[in-house]
Amino acid sequence: MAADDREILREVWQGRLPICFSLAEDEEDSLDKQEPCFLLVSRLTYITLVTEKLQKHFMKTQELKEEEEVWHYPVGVLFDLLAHGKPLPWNIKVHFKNFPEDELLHCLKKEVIEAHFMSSIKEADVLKHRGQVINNMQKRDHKQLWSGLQNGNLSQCNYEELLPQQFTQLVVTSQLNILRQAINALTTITVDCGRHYVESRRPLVVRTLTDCAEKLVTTEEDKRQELNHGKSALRANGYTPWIMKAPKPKKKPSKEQPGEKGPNISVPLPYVKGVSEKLANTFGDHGVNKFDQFWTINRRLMERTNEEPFRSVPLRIYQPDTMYIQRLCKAVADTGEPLNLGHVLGNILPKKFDNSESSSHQALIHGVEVPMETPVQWLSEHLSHPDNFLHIVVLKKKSEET
Amino acid sequence: MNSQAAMGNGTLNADEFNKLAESIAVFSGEHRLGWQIQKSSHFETPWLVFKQVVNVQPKSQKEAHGAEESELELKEEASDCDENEQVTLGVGGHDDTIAMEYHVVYSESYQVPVLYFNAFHSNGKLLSLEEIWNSVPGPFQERVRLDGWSTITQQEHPILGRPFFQLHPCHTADLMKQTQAMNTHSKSNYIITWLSSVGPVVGLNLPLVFATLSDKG
Repeated sequence: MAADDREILREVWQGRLPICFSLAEDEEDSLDKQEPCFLLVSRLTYITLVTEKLQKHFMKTQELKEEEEVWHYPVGVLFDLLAHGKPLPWNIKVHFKNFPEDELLHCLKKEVIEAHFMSSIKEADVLKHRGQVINNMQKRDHKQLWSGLQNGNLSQCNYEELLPQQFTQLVVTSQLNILRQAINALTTITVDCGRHYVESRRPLVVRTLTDCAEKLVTTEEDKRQELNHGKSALRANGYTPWIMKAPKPKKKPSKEQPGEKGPNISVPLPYVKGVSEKLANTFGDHGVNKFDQFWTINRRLMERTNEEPFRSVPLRIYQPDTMYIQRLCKAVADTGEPLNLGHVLGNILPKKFDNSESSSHQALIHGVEVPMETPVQWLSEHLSHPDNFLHIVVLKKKSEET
Repeated sequence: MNSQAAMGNGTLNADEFNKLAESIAVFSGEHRLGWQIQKSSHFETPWLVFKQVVNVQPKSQKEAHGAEESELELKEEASDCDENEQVTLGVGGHDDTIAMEYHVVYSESYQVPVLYFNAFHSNGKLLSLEEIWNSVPGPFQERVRLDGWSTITQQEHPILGRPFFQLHPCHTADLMKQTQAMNTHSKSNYIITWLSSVGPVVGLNLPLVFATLSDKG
């Protein structure tokens, strides 16, 4: 895989949304108004995985049930579907009581999401490789896929809790700007993170650096040096002084699990010029990157068998106020011509995508409007969610709305 | 006809499924068995629906009965095919009555039929996954206890979008391949053969008269 392409996998993995969780009015104790809870949440995770955090937050006055929102759609898909283009942070009302069981999937435990997640991966592999890859995997590989997603994205949420006042100072947008390059229109897409994207990561950078100093370096002298190095690197990259005073992460006593080699640290690796390279080396040496843990296994699911394109591309198309659409979708036409996103959408939603320049609708993947000329095989390999499905959100174009 | 070739590997294509489902609905109509075909404007393939009311032994009795404790007992079938309405609960007034709703939906991904079902207490509340697992009859209990999460899970109904329990389809093709290999001479209806082997796991026991239904309808 080309280096640029691999970078896209990483960008997708690190996509985050700022969410403000507050308790629904009817569940709020009027005498003791609850502060909302601000979190940066991975686009790829499921909202239920954040519940524990929320429960702790709202626990003081409420007796809570472990029930959740539409937990079985990835967070990013929900956001694109419900709140695309609206100001951030995304406000979510939390209902812990009166769960509408006949309308929403009931989610009691992490196992429910795990089962849902694994069953999606299985189905996707049936579509791509007739199920041969997943069936040849060991149970522990399956577990690794799940724990990669879970640890990689859940514990990062813990690191990324922000104080509300800091939050308002950040101009946050977690959308990638994918720009199509003119050179090779069919296969080359570059990712431009943009200034805001980096800005949204700033607290993480600080955390990452302090963590790096505190957990990976052993002697006191080295620790101080490492921290000073981090600070100067941050200043050199234009960080404001106040962010340097971000609260240090709480010590997590049981970070190390028995049986696992090395410290079990989950920190995202945002790109900061000059610093990222150093960090990547350090973390690489310690094997602590969940992205790599997940992709070591997932790579096999995303590979082509004998250079053949996928038998079908696992995808779901979501539209507001209706059931998602899942159809068999080939990667290559019978004529041998690679099919692109325009072909697929034109086929499934002919009224909305007539392949003309003035289509009334747009298709979002990970919050980004993807060029219609992009081959679906490429999309499947690079922009699929961890459950191995491409989740495409179709919305009416803004300019069309009156 | 390429149906033999497709069925040799234990799968069905959508057309074959349609024909078989249609013949089940017709047969069921003739024999008043309660199976109906349903169609949706946004989903090409129709699906089969069957509803029944089952009786579960009260809790106190259950504990005394060990392994068979909460087995669903077939009380009565919604045998009148003209009865198009939902099985209304609470009419019987018993706390131990459960309304079951079974849907046989074609999966394009797996190219096999998939069994979705829901179970409602008489107060209209859905049974939990835990309750469903516990209601699996004795002979199948072990399997579910061992590997519950990959046998019965809650999923979104692919057409209705509401939560349903699903018997996972990943072994269906293998099962049917073996079954078909054993019965090369028989012309039984694929869906009936499959349902009669997996249905009992979730309290769905097909009446024997279905055995007379061949793949030609």
